[in-house]
Amino acid sequence: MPEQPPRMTQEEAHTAAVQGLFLQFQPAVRGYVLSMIPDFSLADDVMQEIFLVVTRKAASFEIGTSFPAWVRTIARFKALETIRAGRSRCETLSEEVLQALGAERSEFHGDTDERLALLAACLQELAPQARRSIDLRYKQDHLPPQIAGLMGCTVPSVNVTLSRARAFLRDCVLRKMDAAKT
Amino acid sequence: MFDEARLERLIAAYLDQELTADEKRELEEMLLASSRAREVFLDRAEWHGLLREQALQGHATLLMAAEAPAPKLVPFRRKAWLGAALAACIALGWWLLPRHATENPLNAGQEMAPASERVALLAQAIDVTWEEGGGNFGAGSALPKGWLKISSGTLRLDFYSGARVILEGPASIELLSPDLARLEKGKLTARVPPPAEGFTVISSDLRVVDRGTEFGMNVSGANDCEVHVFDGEVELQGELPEAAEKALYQGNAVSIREGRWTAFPANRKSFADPAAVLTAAVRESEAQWTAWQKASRELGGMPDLIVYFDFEGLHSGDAVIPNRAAGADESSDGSVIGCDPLPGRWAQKGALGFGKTSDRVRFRTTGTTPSLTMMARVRVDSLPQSHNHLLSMAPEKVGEVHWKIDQSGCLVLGVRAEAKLAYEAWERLESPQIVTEQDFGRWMQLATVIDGSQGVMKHFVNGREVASARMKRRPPIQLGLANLGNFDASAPEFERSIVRSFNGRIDEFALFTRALDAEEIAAMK
Repeated sequence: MPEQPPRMTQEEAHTAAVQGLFLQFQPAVRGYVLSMIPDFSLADDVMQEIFLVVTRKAASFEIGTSFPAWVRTIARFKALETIRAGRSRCETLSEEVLQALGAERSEFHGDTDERLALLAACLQELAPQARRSIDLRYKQDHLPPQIAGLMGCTVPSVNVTLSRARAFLRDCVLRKMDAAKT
Repeated sequence: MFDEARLERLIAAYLDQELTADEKRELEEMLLASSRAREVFLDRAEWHGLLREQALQGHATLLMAAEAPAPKLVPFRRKAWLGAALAACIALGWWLLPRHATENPLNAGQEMAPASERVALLAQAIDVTWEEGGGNFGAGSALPKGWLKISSGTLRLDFYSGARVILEGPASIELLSPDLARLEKGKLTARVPPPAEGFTVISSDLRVVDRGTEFGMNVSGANDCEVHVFDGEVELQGELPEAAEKALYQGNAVSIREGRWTAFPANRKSFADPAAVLTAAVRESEAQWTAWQKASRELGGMPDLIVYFDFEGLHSGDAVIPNRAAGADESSDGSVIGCDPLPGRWAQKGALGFGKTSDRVRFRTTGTTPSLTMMARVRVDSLPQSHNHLLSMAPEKVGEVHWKIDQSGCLVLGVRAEAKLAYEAWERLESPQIVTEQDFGRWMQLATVIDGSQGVMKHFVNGREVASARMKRRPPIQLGLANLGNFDASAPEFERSIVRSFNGRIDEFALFTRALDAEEIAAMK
C-alpha cells in the first residue's frame, strides 16, 4: 500500500538543517570572508556564493561533524577564487599571507547570537559622533574619506574615531559576556 | 616582537581599504613573522564581520529565505602585469634581446606550477623509486598539486599547512591542497602540529580529519583501510556504519575491510618511526658525503684544473677559501666577501651562502687559454635579479667571461670577442629554462664548456648536455680577476651601479683550462 508521502524528504530536511547551521555561523563566516576581502559588497556576493555551495553540497556534510571546519573550507575556497579572478577592487593580501592566516588555529565562534545582542546594547553606549561613524561605515558601506565628507571632518580623525569605537565595542561586548558568566 | 599599536592601525587601514602599497607590505611582513599578529588580525576581522552583520540584521534572514539567486557575473579585471614586465626589461640593455622560444627538454611533462598550486615541500626522499608518471622529485622540491607514486622507498612531505607526512612505498598519494591529500594505497604517518589541525587524508570512502595529533593510515585497496591514532584524536567522516565511532582516540585503531568495521589497539610498530626515517636519511647522506670526499680528492688531481674550491671546513668569518687544485699556490686562493658558511648538499658538507648583493668569492688567475670548463654545484634559492651571476671573470677585457642564470631560469654564457661595448661584441650560449621555481632549494650540477679548438660552446645540467652552439669568433679566454656568485659592476657601460648577485648556495666549484668532454662531466656528477 502506498504510504503517504512525507512533507519533506529526508534529503530536504538534511539540507534545511545544514542551512540552519549556516545561518548560525553566518557572522563568523562573514568575518572570515572580510578578512580576505575587505570590500563589503563583494564580500556580500561571496557570502551568497558560499550559501549556494553549502546548499548544493549539503548532502556531503554529515550532521555531528564539525560544521565550522566544513564551511570554513568552502568560504576559504570561494574567497580565494574571487581574489584570483581579480574581482576585488581593493587591496587584498598576498597568497602567502592568506596561506599563513588560513593555517592559524581559529575556531568560528558559535555564540554569535549572544554577541550580536550584546553588540546592539553596546552600540547604544557609544558617543553620538562615534555611533554615527559606525553607522556610516557599517550600515551605509561608506569608507573613511566619504564619512569625513559627510561629517565635515578630516580622514585621520575619522580613522581615529572608528578605531576607538571598535575597541570600545569589543571591550564592551567581552565585558558583558564575562559579567554574564560570573 | 612587533608594535601592537602599529599592527592595530594597519589592520584598521586594511579593513577600511586605505592601505598604501608600503603599508600593505609592512602588514604582510608582520603577519608572516608572528602568529600573535595573525591571531589579532583574525580577531579584528571577525569583529569587523560582526559589526557588518549587526548593520545588516534583517537582511540576513532574507538571504536564507529567498530562493538563492544565480551568482552575479563579474567580468575579469586584468591587472597591469605588462607594466611590471616592461620595467623589468628596460633595466638592462644588451643582454636582453629577444630570445627564441625553445622546448625545455628537462621539464618536458613537468611544467612549472604556479605558486598557488604548490602545496608541500619534499623534505626527504630515501631510497625512492618513482613510478612512471608518478612524479620524479628531488629532496627540497616544492611539490605541486597532483599525484606522487613510488614503488619503494620513503618520502617525508612537509605540507604548507604544517602537517608532516611520512609516506612508505609502495604508495600513491594525491596532493590536493596544503591540508588535504588522498591516499590511494600505501602507508602514511602524519604528525600534525596545532596550527595545522584539520589536516585531512581521504581514501576511497573515508575522510580522516586530524584534531591535533599523530596518526597512521594504511590503505591496501579500494575497500581496505586502517587508521591508527598514536596521539590525540582524529575524526572519521564518510560513509561509516551506524555503530562506528566518529572520533578515534589515542591508542585506538580501526580497520574497514569490505565495509566491515573492526576496532583494535593502535600499533605504532607497523608504521615507519619518524626517528628511524631521520636516522636512515642521515646514514644515507653520510654515505653520499663519504663517496663525494673520495671523488673530490680525485677531481683535485685532474689535469688542467686551475681552481678548485670544495667549500669544506669553512667557519663564519673565514676570509680565505683555499684553492685545492693540485699544485695551486696561495695566490689563487679565494677571498670570501660577505658569504655565510652553511650546509651544502648534505648536512655534513660545507657550502657558502650567497644572499646579500655584495656577497662573493674573489680569486685571481693569470694568462689566456683557448678552452675553458666551468663546473659548479649550486642550489638556487631564487632568481631575484635579471642576471644572477655564477661567475664573472676579467671584466672589460677581450676574452671576458660571464656565466649566469637569467631571471627566466636559463643558463647563459657570454664570452667577449671584441672590446667594443655592444651586444654583437659577445659570443653567447643560452640554454632552455633549466631552473623553474620548483627547483628553488634543490641542488644541481651546472657545467659549461668553451671549446676553442672545435669552436663550440656547451651547457650541461646534472651531467646532461642541454645546449650547444658554434662560435662565430674564437677569442682566447682571458683569465684574471674573477667573482664567484657576483659581478664587478665597474665597467663604464654601466653608468649607475647594477646588481647581478646570485641568491643561493655553492658547495663545489672547478675551473679547467681545457674543454672537458661529456663523459668527464658526467663522471663529476
